[in-house]
Amino acid sequence: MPEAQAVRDKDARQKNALQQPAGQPIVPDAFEPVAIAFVCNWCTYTAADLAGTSRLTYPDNVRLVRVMCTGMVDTQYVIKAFLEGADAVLVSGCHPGDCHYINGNYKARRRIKLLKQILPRFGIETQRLRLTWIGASDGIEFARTMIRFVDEIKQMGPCQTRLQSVI
Amino acid sequence: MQISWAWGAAMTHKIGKTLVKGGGISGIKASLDLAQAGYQVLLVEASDHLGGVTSQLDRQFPTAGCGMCRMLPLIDRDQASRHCLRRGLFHENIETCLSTDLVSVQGEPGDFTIALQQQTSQVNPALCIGCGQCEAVCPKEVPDPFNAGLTKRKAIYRPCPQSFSYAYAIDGNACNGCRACGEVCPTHAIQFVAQERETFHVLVVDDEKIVRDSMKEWLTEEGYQVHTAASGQKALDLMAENHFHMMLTDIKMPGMDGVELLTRAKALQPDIAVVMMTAYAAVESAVAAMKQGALEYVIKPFAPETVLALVDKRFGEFAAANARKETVDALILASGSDLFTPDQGINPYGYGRIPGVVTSLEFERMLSAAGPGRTQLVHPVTGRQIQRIAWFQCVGSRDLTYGSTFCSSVCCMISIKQSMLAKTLYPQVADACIFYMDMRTPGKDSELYADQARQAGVDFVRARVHSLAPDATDPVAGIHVRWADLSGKMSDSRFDLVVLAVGQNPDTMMQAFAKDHDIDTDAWGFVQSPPFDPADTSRPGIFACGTVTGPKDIHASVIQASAAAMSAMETMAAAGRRTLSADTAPSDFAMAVEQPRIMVAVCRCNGLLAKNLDMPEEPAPFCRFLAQDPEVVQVEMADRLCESAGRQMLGQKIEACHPNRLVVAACGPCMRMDKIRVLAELANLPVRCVAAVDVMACAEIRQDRESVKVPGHEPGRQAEPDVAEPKIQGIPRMYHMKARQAARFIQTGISRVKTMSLNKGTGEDVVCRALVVGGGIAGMTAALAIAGQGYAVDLVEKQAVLGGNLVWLHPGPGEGRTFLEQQKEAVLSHALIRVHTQTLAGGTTGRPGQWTTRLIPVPETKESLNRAGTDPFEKQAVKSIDKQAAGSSDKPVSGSSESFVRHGVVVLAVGGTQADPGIVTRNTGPGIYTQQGFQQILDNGKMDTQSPLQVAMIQCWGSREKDRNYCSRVCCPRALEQALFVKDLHPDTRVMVFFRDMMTPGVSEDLYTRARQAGIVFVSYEPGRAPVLDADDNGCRITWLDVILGKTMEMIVDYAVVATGVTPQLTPELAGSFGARLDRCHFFDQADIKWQPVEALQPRVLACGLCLAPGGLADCLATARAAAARAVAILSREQIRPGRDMARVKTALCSLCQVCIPACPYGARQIDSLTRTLVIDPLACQSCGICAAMCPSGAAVVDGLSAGHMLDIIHTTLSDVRQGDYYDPFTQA
Amino acid sequence: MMSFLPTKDRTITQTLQDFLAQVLETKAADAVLVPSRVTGDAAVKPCLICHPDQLHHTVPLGPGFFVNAGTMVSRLSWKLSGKKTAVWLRPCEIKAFVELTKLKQGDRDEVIILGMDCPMALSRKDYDTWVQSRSPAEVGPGLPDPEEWIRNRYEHPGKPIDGFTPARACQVCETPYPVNADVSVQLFGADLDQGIVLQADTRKGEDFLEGLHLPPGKKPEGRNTLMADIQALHEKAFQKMETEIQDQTGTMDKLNHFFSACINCHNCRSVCPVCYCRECVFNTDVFVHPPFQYLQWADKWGRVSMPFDTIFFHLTRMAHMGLTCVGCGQCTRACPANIPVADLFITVARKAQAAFDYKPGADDAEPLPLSVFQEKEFADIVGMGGSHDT
Repeated sequence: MPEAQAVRDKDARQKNALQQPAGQPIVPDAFEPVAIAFVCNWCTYTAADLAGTSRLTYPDNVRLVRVMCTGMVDTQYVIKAFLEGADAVLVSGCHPGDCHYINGNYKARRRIKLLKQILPRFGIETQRLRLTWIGASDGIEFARTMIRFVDEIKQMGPCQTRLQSVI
Repeated sequence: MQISWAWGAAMTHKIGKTLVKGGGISGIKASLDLAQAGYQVLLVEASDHLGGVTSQLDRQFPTAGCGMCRMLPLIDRDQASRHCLRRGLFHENIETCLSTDLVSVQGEPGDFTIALQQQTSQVNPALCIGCGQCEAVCPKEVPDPFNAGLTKRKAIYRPCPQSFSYAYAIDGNACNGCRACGEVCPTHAIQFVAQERETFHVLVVDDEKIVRDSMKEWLTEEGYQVHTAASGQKALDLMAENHFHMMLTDIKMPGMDGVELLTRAKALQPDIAVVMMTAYAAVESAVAAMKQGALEYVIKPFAPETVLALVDKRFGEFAAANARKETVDALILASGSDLFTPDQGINPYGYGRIPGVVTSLEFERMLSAAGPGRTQLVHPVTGRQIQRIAWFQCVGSRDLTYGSTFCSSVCCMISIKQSMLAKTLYPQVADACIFYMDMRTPGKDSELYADQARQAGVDFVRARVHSLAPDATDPVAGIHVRWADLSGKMSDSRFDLVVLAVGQNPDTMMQAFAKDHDIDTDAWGFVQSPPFDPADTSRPGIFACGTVTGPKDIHASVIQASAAAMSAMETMAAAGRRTLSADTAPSDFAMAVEQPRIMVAVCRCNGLLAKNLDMPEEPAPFCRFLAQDPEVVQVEMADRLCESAGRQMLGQKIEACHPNRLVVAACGPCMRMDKIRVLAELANLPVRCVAAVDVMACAEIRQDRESVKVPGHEPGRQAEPDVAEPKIQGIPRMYHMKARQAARFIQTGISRVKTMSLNKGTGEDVVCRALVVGGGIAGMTAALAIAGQGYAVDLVEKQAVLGGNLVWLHPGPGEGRTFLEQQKEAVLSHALIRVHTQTLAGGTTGRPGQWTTRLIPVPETKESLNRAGTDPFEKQAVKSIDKQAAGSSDKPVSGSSESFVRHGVVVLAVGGTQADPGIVTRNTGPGIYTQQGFQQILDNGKMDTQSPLQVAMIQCWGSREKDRNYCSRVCCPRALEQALFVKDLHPDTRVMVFFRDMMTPGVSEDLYTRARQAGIVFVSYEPGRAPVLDADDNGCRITWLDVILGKTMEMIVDYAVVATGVTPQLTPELAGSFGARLDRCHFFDQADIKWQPVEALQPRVLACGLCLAPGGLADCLATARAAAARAVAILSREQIRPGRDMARVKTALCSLCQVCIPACPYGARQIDSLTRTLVIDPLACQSCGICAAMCPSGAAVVDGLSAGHMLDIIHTTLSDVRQGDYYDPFTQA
Repeated sequence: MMSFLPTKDRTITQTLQDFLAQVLETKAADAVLVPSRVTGDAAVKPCLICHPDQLHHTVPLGPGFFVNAGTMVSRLSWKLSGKKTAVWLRPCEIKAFVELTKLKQGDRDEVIILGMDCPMALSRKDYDTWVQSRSPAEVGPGLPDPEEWIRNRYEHPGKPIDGFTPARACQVCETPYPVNADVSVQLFGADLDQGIVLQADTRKGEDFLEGLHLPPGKKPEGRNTLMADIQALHEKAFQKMETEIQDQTGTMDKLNHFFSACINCHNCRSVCPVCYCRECVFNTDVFVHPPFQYLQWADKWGRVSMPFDTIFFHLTRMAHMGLTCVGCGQCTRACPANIPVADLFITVARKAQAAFDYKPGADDAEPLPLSVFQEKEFADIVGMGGSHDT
């Protein structure tokens, strides 16, 4: 049955990827990334919902985790997401000045800035961690961001943490 | 008592209940304020969604964001849903009725009987899951009102794009009745119940076929059920089989005539309404018929409208008899206003004729990402990118031709915002040009915002547009605009788009309602408020707020809404109504503390779960997979959890398995807090032990999604990279992919109930006392309103007398004085108000809500003595206070010794004062005056009225620039009042007003009109070119540059009056002692200028009057009553209970590093100096989790969002990233 | 203000011991905190001394460095004591203490910081060898006279003594001279046969020195040149270390290898002066996973190593204290598995600190980077490819 076959093929490719020496590019087509997006309850989550109800198409490789505010996204969560095998992490909240909690998004920006100094040191490329502002009405912007995000990760290939047991 | 989620018998009528008509932001705000104070609200909205016109505005000044969610309750916030307000509003104390009209109101304050008529809905919202299949098959397309008609929608549609309710609605006017939607609906949510009018049966009796047929056609078109009969006998035959509500009969018919038919019909059906149709000749018999009980007669030939009006009227009565009746204590009218439609009259701007001419609302939608251009700003017809835009101000406002002689107050700010957004969001916009008469930027931040727009490159042109015409070469896409500037020079420009800044007009429906219900309206048709009761109407117990009472912006509407809520509270209190008390801990709490025994209930959702998630009806592997967790004791498939029958079934299963945690997997509607609460009650568990997971969201992986089309995408233009536009992607078709995702979702719910702390946290006792600092009119009004609800108030005033600016500033002849005296009298005689004059508040200690403030007496200063000496009224005031002091010895009226007060809220009302003009002004004789000084001359009759005088008034003196870059709002109306007064004294007196922009928003525009009519001369000047004053004993020389003549002018005047504006008197120390701050211009810094306008971020600190924002008396009174409403909401409970998800401190882990304290946006965290532990104010904490992210040791936690839970979620969300390698739960099982 | 401490035929150690005695005798301070021998062996720890007769145990300058005294000063100052304490600190100890004051774990009010030009320190292993290789019992049992070490460090910095080089963290130290002290003790460039210069850097320092009535001093000639040389040397060493660490930890796989011997004992965080948490979050219930969860992980990955969360711990610790890391190198010294933890942490921390232009410990008023923000900053990290920066 073709569907199951496809999965098995994909798994086989992933196993191959596992055995490949590090740094060797992986054919982008063969690879469906899994990313995690921490989205704020007030803005980006609403936008994601709007994109859904507007029946916009965007890849479902990005799994949403709703948080109250981007300001509550602890550095631990981002690190954990990578260690658990996410190919990329997106943090997305309200536009500057529009944060429901006044300034949580500014605090998030500094935290992401810090992580962007640390994680790339260990081969987790800086593009794998993203911060965006998406307002409640920006359903299209949300879909667009997802497409672009996934496209970029596909180009980059799987994150090392996905291939190695590093918890 | 425990609050029941349903509006059932548990509610006794003794709980206060207010009806709010209109679900725009004013209505929402008033409802939320009442709900937070513990009253019940019936929120009635005529349209199909909440939010009013604001739901169509994505962005608002000044953040260029939205922020509407900041209106959500801070108190008992678990009772309201916590999500974007565009998605909907839910609060336990608010019953929302959408698509419902308020038909009638009868009765008295405290006992109104109201009738509600709900428009019949064809879609059952309880069943609709928003799958959109109906929309796909619907053949009818109509312009979408949400996008101001710029896009199309189907006849079946989603009312508001972000709406949390998934329910679709059918537009009855657009629907062609094909019923295709009903056939595809998977949940049978669409039922074609008869429309209301279809149930109204009309019988037409006439011997002439043409009359019968045409009448049947007219009436059927209107939706009525029509039968015809050719003779009286046939009519009677029909009546034997059917019940008719109305009969229209000819008089002269062969056989039985109309009058006989009438008699016999009445015998058969006494309640039938009969209308006689007669030729002119038979009028007499018609009159006779009236005596026999006919309702009315019409003379042939008649216009269809004549008959229809009669039928509609009768139908109205019929419908009203079926309407829902309710008893409420008070009403708040908040149904908004209409926008001016520019295609009426001579339509000088060619709206509707010239394609590029749009209204400001249409443009707002063009800017929206959910609007017609999606993310592009394109011409509505050509689809080309828009590069040059012009805004025309005052369309349908300040316009005599339409009788709209008021200023709409908002259009200037809207145009500034739109021009800024166009400029900043769309780089292609080269020109953004606003044509205006006066740029009205009243209020605190508006002037600065206008400056930002200027810096962003927006052109402001003070000019009247002469004409506009389609471009000769490109008539569709281009518009030529010709205008004359102040000097009369003509100019000409081409624009792609002209935006008409349309004004706010009174709502015609509301006007009719007001007329029917004895509610006074003003000359234009806005509901009129008495001068000193900013939210009242002429009818007691009925209040009004928002644009119902006149044009206003969001900021003013929100304030007036709170003020209206305060008035409603007063009415309810006067009627002896009480508030709902908070619920208590669930009985079975002890059980929940045990080791988790989790039950998972998965709703089959009518078979949709299996269908949408590609899994079998009884998904055994799926259940087994979830049951792997040792703490999950049972996984149950359930049905229809959204309905009570389904819940009953689940209840039995719960009883059998006896879990102490419950996870429910269902669709969107079950995620609402009220539904979760019901499930918790069902399982007899605390709400925190129940988690709901939207498992149908996994079905969002759909194949039927359309790609995003960009209208007007120019083919020649280099397109953005493909990735930038959403398009159909290859959907990964992993085996059981959706089911796996569903399982992951459910696992996160399991994690939530596992990691949820059962420590409920302790509530905090409320100190039921308010401190009001400032005894001006705002402070007194706030104190009276708070005390009126039964809470003790300490009112502190540093001067010897109460009254503040009103002592010198006389609001309206006579009445103002009386009002001030009344308020003073009321304050001084109120049993719950302690007045401390000549006292300063200082040295506040304690935690927020547990404050102790020191009251320090100030010795009588020279200044206060002087003031008391010069003002005769003040002397009187002092006397009255002395009298008071003598009368009641237990009331400390003047501070003699230091004392302390404990209080739970504080209202800062320290007021403001006239700004220093920076020049020497005079007290007597001709010369230079401030407005205050001049007012005293006028009031004391010290002006020479025998001979004509020369008076010059200079506006914006030192104001709207540099460090006082705000408009004080009061000076222009005051100058106009003074000018008119002076002109009245001697008609030959010459008055010149030098101005930058005359700021007469709203109906105060009327003053401006009258002043011009009275011959007062207005001369504009540019910023930085204010007229120069030079005074000596003989008079005053004024020199200015005349813009129109282009040369320097000079004049000697008797009186030069400079309008210096208002400066606030709030000190950073006073604000800071309660954790509040001052803003850029030294006013009180609000939590949010639009949505939380009278409170600081720390919600127990409120402000009103001139220290909050500049404004007139009405503004100050409104803010005072709004602040009181907020204070009452806090004081009305014995304890502030911690929310379900509230920040906690694990004290054993806390190093007291205090990084979390400044990180908290609400100042909710503080170190208790006695215990040296960190404590949290349960009222201020909004559970954002920012503290937890700041804390490295995990001492700061927010229940429900704890690190353990978040890490679990991350693990579960990514649990399958390598599943393929080692294991697959579904294939193995 | 500058004062002079003449050596007068005394060793440097004796000179400083006499100076500290004078501090106590003149009541310039009620107590001094200074590294001191612990009876019976070579171990050196900060000791709080109130009586001048105990000062002969002290080793103000030496290669032994096993506790960052910054933490100890915070224990002495988190609450008012009513007494004045003079604390003798290495530059990295001052920085640690200042960072701790920003975190409200200590207060400068009752503390006089005497900061020294740093004599650097040996690694744990080298220190033991050094102690054994030097003849014992001249100064006291078990600890050699540090005079040789001191002379070498200040007169020929960068030159090893018999193959003994300072620890890696010391070699790459950015500021081996005191920053933000009340009194700085200047030895670089000084003629140690003549004496040592004390410079007051704060008002409090001036009052302190004035009370001691010491002869005036002047800035050692050549101090600036020498310090510039040292800095250049250290910068070079840092770059070398950075390259090496990048080679060892540049990928997650390598990072795993780097920490493969880690036993999750959290000693590194226990000795870390800026890991100020009462209890590490990794020791709290958040990381006490139910057995079912471990099995799920093992199932997912095929295998997982126990102890669990090792890499997670180290990465999170970098995020938590990377911005405040003072580079003292104690983590490496404390590691029972001999993992060069500091080499990695210093490298990462320096990059993170540079991103926020933050110098830990340099300025009391400079806020911790994550506790503040500006409305317009770091536009480069927002949006997809920078086109949505607002």
